Amino acid sequence: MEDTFDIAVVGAGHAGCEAALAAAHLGCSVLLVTLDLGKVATMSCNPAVGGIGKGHIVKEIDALGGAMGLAADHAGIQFRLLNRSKGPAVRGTRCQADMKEYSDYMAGLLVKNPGIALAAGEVTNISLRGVGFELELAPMAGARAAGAPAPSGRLLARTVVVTTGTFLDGLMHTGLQNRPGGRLGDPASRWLPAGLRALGFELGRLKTGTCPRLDGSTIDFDAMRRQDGEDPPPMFSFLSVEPQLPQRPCHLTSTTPATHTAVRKGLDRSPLFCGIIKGRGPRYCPSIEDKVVRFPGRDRHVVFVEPEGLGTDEYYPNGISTSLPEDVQIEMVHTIPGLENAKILRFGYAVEYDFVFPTQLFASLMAKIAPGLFLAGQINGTSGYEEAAGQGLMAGLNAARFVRGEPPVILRRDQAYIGVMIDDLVTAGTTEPYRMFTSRAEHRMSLREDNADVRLTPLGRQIDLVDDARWDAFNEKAERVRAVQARLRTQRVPDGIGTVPAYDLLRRPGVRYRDVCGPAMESSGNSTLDRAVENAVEILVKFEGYIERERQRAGKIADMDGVAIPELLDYKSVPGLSREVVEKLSAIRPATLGQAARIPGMTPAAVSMVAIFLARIRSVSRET
Amino acid sequence: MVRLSGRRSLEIAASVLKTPAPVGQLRPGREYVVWVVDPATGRDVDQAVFTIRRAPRSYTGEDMAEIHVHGGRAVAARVLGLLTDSGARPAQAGEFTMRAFANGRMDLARAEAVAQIVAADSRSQLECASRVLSGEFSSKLEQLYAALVDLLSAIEARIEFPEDDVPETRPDDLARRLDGVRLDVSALAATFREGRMIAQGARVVIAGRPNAGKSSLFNALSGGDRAIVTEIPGTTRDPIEAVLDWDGLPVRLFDTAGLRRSGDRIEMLGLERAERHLEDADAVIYVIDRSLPADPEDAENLSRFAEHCVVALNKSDLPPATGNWRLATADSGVQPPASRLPPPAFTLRCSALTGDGVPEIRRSVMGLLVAGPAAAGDALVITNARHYALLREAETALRQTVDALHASATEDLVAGDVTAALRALGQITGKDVSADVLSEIFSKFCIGK
Repeated sequence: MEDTFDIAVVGAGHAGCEAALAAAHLGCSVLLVTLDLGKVATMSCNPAVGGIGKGHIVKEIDALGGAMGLAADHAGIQFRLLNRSKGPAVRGTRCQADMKEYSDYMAGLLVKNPGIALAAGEVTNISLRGVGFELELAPMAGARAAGAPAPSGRLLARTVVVTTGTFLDGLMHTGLQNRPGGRLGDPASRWLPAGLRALGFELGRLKTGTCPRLDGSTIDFDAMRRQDGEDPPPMFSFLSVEPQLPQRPCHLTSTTPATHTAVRKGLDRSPLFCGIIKGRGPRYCPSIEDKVVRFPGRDRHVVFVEPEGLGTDEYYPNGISTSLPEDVQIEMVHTIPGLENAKILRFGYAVEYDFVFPTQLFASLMAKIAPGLFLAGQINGTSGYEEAAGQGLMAGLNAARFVRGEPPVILRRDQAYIGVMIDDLVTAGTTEPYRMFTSRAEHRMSLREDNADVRLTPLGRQIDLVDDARWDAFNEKAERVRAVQARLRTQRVPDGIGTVPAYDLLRRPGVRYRDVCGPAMESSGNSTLDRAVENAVEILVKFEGYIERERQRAGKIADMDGVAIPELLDYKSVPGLSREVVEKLSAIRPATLGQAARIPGMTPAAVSMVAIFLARIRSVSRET
Repeated sequence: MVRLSGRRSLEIAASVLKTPAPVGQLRPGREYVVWVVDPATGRDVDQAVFTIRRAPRSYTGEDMAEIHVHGGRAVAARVLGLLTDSGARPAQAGEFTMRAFANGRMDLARAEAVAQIVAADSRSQLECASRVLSGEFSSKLEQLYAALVDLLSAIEARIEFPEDDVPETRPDDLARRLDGVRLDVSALAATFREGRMIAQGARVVIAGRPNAGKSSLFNALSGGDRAIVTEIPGTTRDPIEAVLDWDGLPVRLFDTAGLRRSGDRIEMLGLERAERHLEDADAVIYVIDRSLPADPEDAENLSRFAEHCVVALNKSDLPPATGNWRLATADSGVQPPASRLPPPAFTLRCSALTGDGVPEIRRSVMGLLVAGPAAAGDALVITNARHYALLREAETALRQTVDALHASATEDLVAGDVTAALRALGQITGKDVSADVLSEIFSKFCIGK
């Protein structure tokens, strides 16, 4: 018997989980296939969620009803708000997470969801069949065999969301040794790339790397600087009140000249510098060998020793990602204060993997060549749990809407970082693992963590992703913010000379909400909510002018994003466009004039020609 | 010469030419003697020299064919006709350049400069445009852009990587350096005053009380009989314009209605127009009839535009009135303090009737118009209104940044202002600010855990 699922999700990482949950929430029957059901939502790299730009994405996922914020709050063992002093737009929440708790929490959501069927195995091929797709499924043992695996099962699905992470033809490097694998201890997905090529996708190769993991019982924490979380801990989810787990510190140490000497000695066996690794790695996350070679003048680099959880003694020395040989890793680690006797539990490695050039996707994350096939996460050339989860949510949502015959939901650049990210990917593509940075957003002052709910929860409600509990919580906060704003305008407070409207006093530099309103404002009884309201009001009042200034500056771009381009426009018929520009436009098929303008190599003149042409067709269609 | 550009250009050229070898085998850049033939009749039309260029090594970045026919419009028109019959279409004005730009052969600023050269109708226009074309403007912009990328990357690196050792730029130091860039941007933008004159013509307005001899002076200066000259005050109701070439500078000379309090409604309209012209004037020639007694209205009028004004004491062929207003005696050395001109150039005796003193007036006006280094032809001058607007936008954003820094604004706001300035500059040459700043961060700072 062949079951046809509405949606098959391939991979249960951060993208796959959000995709499956969103689609099931919309009433679709979902099959989630992954290599190992014990490794759902695994943090393959550092044990942290959030950060600058990334925390923004987590809050957006949460505001849209996604799971990542709640999972991080549940599993968090240290919470901090980065960039507190640098302004409201660039504040980023980050937590250290208990990796196992995080995975278990997410697995629990999947298992409890009656709309989601879980299957262990390797998807070895995806092909078009009828109105949907056929997936060939091999059990794990078969996938490991040297020859092509005999398919042990075939599944049918109307739509597919592919979230394969670093597993597509993954090749792991430590020193000059390399072996196939998607992650330490896990096999690569070796057959699917051929299937994707057969569908017509063009694939590229990227590289990322990770650190050796250390045994905490062999670390001398007293030799390092302790860093605790903040109190009160900043939460991700607009629904969370406080952490669920005991909190833990991180520890700071740094490399020494001896470390760098050890690294240099090992360079002749570095796969990175010997030209063995061909995939491009992230410039923002360089390996220690990269740092030593590129910045020879520095005699130290900071290392953050991060706990991986409460129930494990494994630690993550963030800052020394490496693919040097094992003996060099040991020597190097032992030159770091506090790690002189540290035992390496797992060695660091680099992994090369296939990705699909994301310009082959629409902004809905659906493949242009295969309607119904969606891609999300690292397969699209991104890096990071948060980036993956954000795409997963959108891909799952849009796959469900595709099944329901509804138009896709596309987040705009002035609406969400998720929108910025996806627009960047499908418009410009990427040549290195793409990470979110706040400077990528031209509407940075408006796309803040504190207002992610204001920006997205009403939309989430409209498209059925936001449940009643979240909707009620959103409205309660919004009403409180409105009430406080109204009171600030009417209430007069002393300013040392006379009395002024509280609103005016709060606008003055250095004046904080607490100074103006003090305890006079009524408390909700939930101090987390009270703080959120205070924070929101303070930012609204103090930064009103700047936010407006940014809106005006970015206005032209936003206007161009409002000009839709017909999907089937034949660019060859637009006069004055060069062949190269026609090719670019025909490949990207931008949905708006703004997106067209952002295609690399598009010139203002070419954009004007398209704009004039669009205006002409509009006027012609009006006349006829 | 007939030029073809585009994917099918060689194929189309081949269809009307008899070449020594198939066009596909000709060497790019070599000159071949060929015959132009009418493909319909097979008859020879003209002998020509033929050169091909291959994409991307051509002006437009596309395949190109150049056919040099023998002079004569008839032959050229015939060849064009044959080519269009074979599938070519006539280029729109500036289209080759537009294509060069669209194919990445040229940045936007340079492409616009070419468009201006095509349209240039005076020597100074040509000079300015060719300076932009030479890339001088682009390299100056590049320099300012790079300076801002350098400053912004230092701010953004601290924002994006708060836990890395990125050195902090002190706010006052940052403000000082940003202000330095602002001054450069501002200086570049300020050249648009001259640049606009060069591109659109300098606006020189002749003004004065009725019957002072404005129209006569207009004629004397424009060397024609354009304005109607009569003895009746108020003849010139509408400003009359002449476009002149003064030492390479395009000058738009306007004659205006006499400035006086009048009850005549039609004359009032002329006055309003005169006022509008005076507001936009780059220079004013204020005409006073020195044969008449002084009138306080002259002093009143003059005080409004003394800064960019030359006073013409007209009718030097008649005896001067005694007791005239003392400004009317050039020897007195008195001049309103606001004038940019030295005293001898400010008030000049002339006779529009005999032409006496008219060249001196013209010289003084030129002194007002091109006081800057552009006159010497060695300065970079902005002549494009789009560039000017973007430079002003950058200047404003930089001023706001400096203000924000002084007000201890948070880094996100400061970065936002600098980004706005960079985007404005980047739009002139077409750059991706976000990618450039990130690249600079990665190359300059050791970041990333």
